Amino acid sequence: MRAESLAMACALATSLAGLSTVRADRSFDVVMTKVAMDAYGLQVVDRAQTPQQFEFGMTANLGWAHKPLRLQLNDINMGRQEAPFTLIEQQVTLDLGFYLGLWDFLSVAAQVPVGVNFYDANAVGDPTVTVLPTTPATTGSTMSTGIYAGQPRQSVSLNTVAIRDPRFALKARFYGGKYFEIGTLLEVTVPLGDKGSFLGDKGFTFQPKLLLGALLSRLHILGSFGAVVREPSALYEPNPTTAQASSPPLRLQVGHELTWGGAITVRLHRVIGLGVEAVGTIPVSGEQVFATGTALGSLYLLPTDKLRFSVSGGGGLFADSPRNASGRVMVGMAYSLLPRAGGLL
Amino acid sequence: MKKSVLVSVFCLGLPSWVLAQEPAMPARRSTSALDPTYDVLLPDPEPAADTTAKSDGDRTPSANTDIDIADRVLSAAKQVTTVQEAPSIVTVVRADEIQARGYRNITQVLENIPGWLPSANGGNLLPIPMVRGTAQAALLLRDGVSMFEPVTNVGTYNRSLPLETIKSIEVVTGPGGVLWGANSFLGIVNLISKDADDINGLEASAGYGDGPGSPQDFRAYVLFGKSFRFKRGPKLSIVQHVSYETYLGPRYNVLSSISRNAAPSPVGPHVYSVFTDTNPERSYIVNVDGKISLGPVTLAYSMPFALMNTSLSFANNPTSGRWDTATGAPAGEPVRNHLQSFDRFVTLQYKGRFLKDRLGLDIKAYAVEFVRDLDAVLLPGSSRNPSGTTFNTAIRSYRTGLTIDGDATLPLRNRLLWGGDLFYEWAPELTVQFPLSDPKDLPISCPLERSGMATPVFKPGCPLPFLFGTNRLVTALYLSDTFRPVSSLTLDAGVRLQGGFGQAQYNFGNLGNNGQILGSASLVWNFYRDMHLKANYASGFRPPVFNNTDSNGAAVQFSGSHSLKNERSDAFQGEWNAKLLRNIGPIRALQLRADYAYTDLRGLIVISNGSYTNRRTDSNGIDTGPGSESRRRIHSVESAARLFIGDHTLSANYTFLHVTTNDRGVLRSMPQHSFNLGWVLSVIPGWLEQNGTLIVVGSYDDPNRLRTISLADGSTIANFSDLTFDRLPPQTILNLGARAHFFKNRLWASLNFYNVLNQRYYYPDPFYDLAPTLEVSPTPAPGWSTFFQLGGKPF
Repeated sequence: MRAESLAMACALATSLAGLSTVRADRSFDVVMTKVAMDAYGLQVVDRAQTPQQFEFGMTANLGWAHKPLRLQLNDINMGRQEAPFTLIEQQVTLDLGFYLGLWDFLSVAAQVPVGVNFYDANAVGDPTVTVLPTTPATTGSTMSTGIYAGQPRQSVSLNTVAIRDPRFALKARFYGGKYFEIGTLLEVTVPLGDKGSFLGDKGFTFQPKLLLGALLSRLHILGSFGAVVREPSALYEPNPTTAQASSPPLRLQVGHELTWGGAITVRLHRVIGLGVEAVGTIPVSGEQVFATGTALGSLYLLPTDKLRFSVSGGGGLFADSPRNASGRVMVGMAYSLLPRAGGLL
Repeated sequence: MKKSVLVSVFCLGLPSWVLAQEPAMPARRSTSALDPTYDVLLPDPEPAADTTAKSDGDRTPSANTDIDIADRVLSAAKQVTTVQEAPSIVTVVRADEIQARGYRNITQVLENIPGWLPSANGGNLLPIPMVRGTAQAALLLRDGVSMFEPVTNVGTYNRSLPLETIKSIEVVTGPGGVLWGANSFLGIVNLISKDADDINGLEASAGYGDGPGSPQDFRAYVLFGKSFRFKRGPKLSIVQHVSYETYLGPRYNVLSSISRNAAPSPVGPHVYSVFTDTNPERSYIVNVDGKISLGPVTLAYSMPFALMNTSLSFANNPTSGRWDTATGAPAGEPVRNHLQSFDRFVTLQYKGRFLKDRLGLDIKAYAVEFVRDLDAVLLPGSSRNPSGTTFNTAIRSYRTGLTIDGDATLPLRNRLLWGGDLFYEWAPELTVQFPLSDPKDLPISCPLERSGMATPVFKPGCPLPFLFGTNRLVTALYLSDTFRPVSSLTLDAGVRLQGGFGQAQYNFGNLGNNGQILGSASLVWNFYRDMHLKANYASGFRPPVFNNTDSNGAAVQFSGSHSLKNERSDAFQGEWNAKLLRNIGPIRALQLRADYAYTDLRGLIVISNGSYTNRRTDSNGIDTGPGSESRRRIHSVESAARLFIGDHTLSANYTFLHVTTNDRGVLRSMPQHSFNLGWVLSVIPGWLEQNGTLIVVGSYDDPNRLRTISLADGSTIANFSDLTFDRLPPQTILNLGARAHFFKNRLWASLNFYNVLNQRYYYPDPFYDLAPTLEVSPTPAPGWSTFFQLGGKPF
């Protein structure tokens, strides 16, 4: 019975697939908590402090997110009624970064981020499904389902593991006093990430940020304001109803955005610090767009001046936002071969 | 060193203007490996440095000796030079890097070199590394002796090469025909084995690993090397190595075929069953190899024997084995499925220097047996064909010959390399059989047991010639001169004449009918401090293999043709390289390299209208004119950076590749972008290292058949006209490992994880066969695996 209903649903979808001319554009990165570019930054909030000249360091961050992508889509098993789908149930991220101080006020940094997606198979569908013949004398066909519907036929399904867009940044400190610091981070992402698996943008993006910091002995208050300039991507309904076929509804659009970040850290002891970090985006263009925000509580461990471990946990601030993971845990390591006095926090 | 340069120059009677320049030469020039007094044919006089032994405080210039040694090219250019100064694009991977990075096979080494990518064909029967997007284009050398297999051009880029015996791997990217002759078409991989002094004792190791990428893998080796000096007579050096490995092929779950048209022209429908697990028979590899040196004479040998089963066969069919009709599933018996690929050889080498080091001589005599036994699945067992269909043939070929290389220091700052080859290669007639099939069911004409019977009685197994016996005699001569008009400029030019005779003789050569003439020219300019610019023209050629010239078209292959021409390669290459930031702060050195190459491949042997040809023909078999010569044009950018900082080493490579063909347009089955990051971090200096490799391959397309029809029993059909380009996304392979040293490196342990993220990785399709292709999916690469190894050097 179940197989028969699936076959009928598939047959219906086949007839509608021809009507659907748009693609479920997946060319955006659902990771909304990009890690800091160097060891002076916190988990997700960058700091204006730059490495000293010829200071070299590395960062490695492992992240886990719960439900990082949720969308309203038509459910072909429910008569194409709109229903909530968690396209990505869980996501693991790995970010490897390197940085080098060129001068005392200027540094370069690069990060290679990787994503591992655990999809909801029902929502994502299958690129090739066998539609059995209804009687033994005839032959059936094959078709694609889920977000593969309406797209060029293929045999390979979505990538579960892929690189995200590599990040390259130039960081400059304009002023660094005892109580206040100000700088900028000019970041460019290169579109090598997997555009088909919600892990990469359509093209290059430019992400400038203004970095501010108030330094009050053991207490640091950091802020950042910036933007993401990108070619927009639009995810349309992959399985429109007959009425929607000529103009499938737009489910999500990702375009230019403003970014913000803030953090308060307290160094409790030479080797321990605590912090609260928050980052988010505010869309400035597009139709079906959503703001995002994530708050994290962080614990920093500094066994030596050269090394910092951090553990952060938190979640999304806007429950209705498709790209706002409901839960997020991050574990990070930052290492500098020649850190500034005071270490990495 | 500088004094010896001056003495040398004086002895050679150089003009006064040259002498006048010498005192003005910067001191760093005196360390150039291009120094004419350098002993080019004797072993590397300096011991390998132990990079792990350095401390943070050791930042004297001598602390960078290991970096400089790592740059030294011993033989890929047939002269001692450096990566920066070599007249070609060279990458050197030394034994300490192989160990530190956790490489377990030659493929892992090559995939970290700019311009090189791993690939596989026939499922995963044969791993074939690609250089500049071209398969079977690299010449594999073992201590300078060609291991080119003349029947199928399948190199032993697999586990059969024991990496622990290798001192360094020198890789040339681009043609190298003048120095190395045939088959150095687009690259050279020279494996230089360790000498007794490199080992100096007994080393042993054993390890075990598991994971779907390399299940149940056990490997152990013993390596002994010692030099004995006597009161009188030459030094005696002995190296002996024995290794044993047993493993299972990688695990996959792939679609199995029920039926398809017979090769070689599978134009009919291809019927598929269901996704099935692979179940290959257990494999083993035993390597026994070594070398004995007495003064200038070295006898080296390698005698491996192995059973190297893989998981996937032609058309990516699984080794699922016999079908149990009672259970409606595979019976679970392990399946034999392999294309063995290992070489047995003996070489005898003489090296000497004469006339106060002005003349060097290197003579090698060798005999090689190439083992490429094929025993593979054509169709796995299914409900319609429970026993499945397999075939086998013992592909053996042989080569014996002599190579002479010499160098001579000439007046006016010239250095001449000269030499030649004389070898004979042959393959006896090979027979293919189908042991599990009834000859009358096979879609080919099987031989009769007896003729004249009312009912035909076929010979069991349907034995048919796979390849008719054939041979080739090759002679070659080359000259290459290096001229340094000023200390910062090196000019190099060479020419090679090579002829092929015998049954599989060269045809339509550019020197008479049987001869091939090649040329090369290069310029290396040390334009500023440690920065060099190179401009280089190199050429190469690849004669048709015996399988192209003498295969039996009435069995399972396309017909061979004796009228095939040699394939030719020409490359125009430019390089900028630099060593920057030497001993600045914690930075020991930053090495940078960027190459651009335009490569033109002409006369590529392709299959057109059911036969091998160098040219495309129209549907009537008529040559469509001069423009129909099968051709590839390749634009490539290969760049590398390596940062030595403190005790840490970081490397990054990037490759851009754009390949166009004259018959299929852009080669969409190759990634245009690929890059990798590698690192070895000293966590506890001298004790614990952490290593990692992140390989990123950009997106590309893979032409496949598309299953469009389903049948009531759940099987699906892909017609030859139902094609799709599977859009393969970017792929990321992360390898991580750790290595600990104890008792001053007398004991060590390593734990490595490969493909940690379990990336579902697919190999690029090097042949870009648009129609009619057999596969319905790209060829998958192994999943994750781990390997733990414990080793020691007790004395």
